[in-house]
Amino acid sequence: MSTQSSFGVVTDPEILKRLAQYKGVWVYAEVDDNQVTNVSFELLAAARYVAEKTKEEVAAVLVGYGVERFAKDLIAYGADRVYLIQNRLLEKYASDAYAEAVSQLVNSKKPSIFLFGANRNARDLASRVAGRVNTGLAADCIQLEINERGQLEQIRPDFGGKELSVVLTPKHRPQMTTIRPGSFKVLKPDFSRSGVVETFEAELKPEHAKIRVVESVRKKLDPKEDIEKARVIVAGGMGLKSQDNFKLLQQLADLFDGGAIAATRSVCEKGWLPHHFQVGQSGKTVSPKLYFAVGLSGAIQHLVGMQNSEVIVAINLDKEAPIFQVCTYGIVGDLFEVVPLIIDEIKRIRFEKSLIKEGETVSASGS
Amino acid sequence: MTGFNIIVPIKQVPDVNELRLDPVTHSLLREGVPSVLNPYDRQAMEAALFLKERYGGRISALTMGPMQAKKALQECLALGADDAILLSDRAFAAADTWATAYTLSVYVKSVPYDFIFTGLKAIDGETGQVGPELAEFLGIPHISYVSKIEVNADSKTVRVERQLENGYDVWEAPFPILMSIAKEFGEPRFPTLQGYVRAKKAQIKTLSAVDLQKMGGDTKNFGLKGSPTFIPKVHPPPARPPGTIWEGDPRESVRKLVQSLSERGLV
Repeated sequence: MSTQSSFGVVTDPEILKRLAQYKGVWVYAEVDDNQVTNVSFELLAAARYVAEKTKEEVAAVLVGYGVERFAKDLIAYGADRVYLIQNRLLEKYASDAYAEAVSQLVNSKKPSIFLFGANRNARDLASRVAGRVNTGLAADCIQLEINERGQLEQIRPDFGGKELSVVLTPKHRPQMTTIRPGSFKVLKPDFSRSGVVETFEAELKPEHAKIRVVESVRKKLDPKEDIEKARVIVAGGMGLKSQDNFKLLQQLADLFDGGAIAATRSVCEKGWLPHHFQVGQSGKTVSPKLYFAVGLSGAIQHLVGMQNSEVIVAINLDKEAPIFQVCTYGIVGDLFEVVPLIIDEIKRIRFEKSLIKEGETVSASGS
Repeated sequence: MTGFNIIVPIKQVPDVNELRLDPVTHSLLREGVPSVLNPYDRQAMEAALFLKERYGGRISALTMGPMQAKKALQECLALGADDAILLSDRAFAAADTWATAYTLSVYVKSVPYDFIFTGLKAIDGETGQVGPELAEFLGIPHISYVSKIEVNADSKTVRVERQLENGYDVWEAPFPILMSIAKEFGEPRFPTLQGYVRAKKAQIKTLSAVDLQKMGGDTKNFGLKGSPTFIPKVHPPPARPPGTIWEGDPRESVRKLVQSLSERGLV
């Protein structure tokens, strides 16, 4: 990608006139396995954040067949408008028919900003749409801002997270972005919000749908293994020394409602845990309330996947480990000694609290 | 049928594992970082060789980059590519994914092809966008994250499996087609010694912006000028405020930690 600062300023009145025709912040509301994907709701949060600054409408693009029932959820989670594209040819995701339908909508309604999830299918679609409507696409963004010229700053980690780039799309519209799942927090739904559902008839011919979906097989993740939704994560690195020792982390995770274990890339590459437990640039981005980083040094590759966690606790023998630079609390020590102590201490403090509560109840009833 | 024409667009990338941050400024140190064939592209070469071994045909490795990118093409020749093409010109420099895909498409349109295989993404940019955008410029279908390919040469169709985060799809489509190949396709091979010897002798065809213009390419779509996106700012990831670190007696450390977590309502 290019770096030349004067390029960001557009002064040509012809171009400015063309850009001004594009309005609104859109998100691609992806339906997979008969539900709207979680990242789609995160995109609505991102879109609301941006739309507050540009004073524009937020619209969700809902594509499929028999998907109109999802429109009210999209409105509750932040959409002012839902564009509904339904067609038998769109029953399951196929890159060619979906790209054609969505591109027709873009060319007809002209959004200024269009956000997609950076998950596999949505990223696939976004690439094809960007090619067809001739605009730029910034990949894997974790943050969005509007600059003083009203342009979308699309902020993404580069080189395995070693630096952050700000990407602009100065002369083309829409400004298209894929957003890494876990980068934005889903808003509280408000089912009293009002919004418009607008049907769009895409003209799909057989040559637009050469791909035939023969089968699509989806497996449900056990909630204990769904680290993107976990409230508390206990992540381990090579310091755990063996697959078996992850049981210790599981014990700590099990103390919390919505607790899950996770791992670094090295651990997953060793095969100690399956790939869906991996946090980081080539794994998942998570933002739990509490993240224990145990026996992992904190390679930047890993940090980009968890640095939005509210509280980070680092446990490592090496006091120079980079994880101590991002942690909220850190203990320099042997994890095999420290983690069991944490488990005991949490149990002890909870027991104490339960005694105090009982005491309060007793004295309250006594008065 | 004398086999398939297969094109494998590849990229030469800095070895990400060798990249270091400046300890003071935290900016990326790029000097002296070795360049390698993008590891994901080995998977694309593997799929191409898989097809060639079964159906015969020719494999062309293709890249856009500086003259040094010949080294990455040589790696492909050593793996078994029959020829290699380098699109190299200062006019191509600093292209984003759109302009890169456009430039590659100008060349690809000038040659016969049945299959185009790419890696999932490059380890430097990690976008995974060039493949689908190239297919778009060529006006052919594409399938991403492919782990298994069955070819029906009579009906000129493929049946493929593609891997997703939460499962897989089976798709059928006609070729010519572009596919990006997932690691589940199978372990990619390494070049043999004979391969390297052959690669040394092979000629790499080099084309400039003027050559591509003669093939119908529009020079205003090349490189920086042709890129819809650009990057005005690059900076190191923001540092968090310093945390509280305990050393010494682990019991004492743990007591303070759990106390702090408790005060935040986390235990």
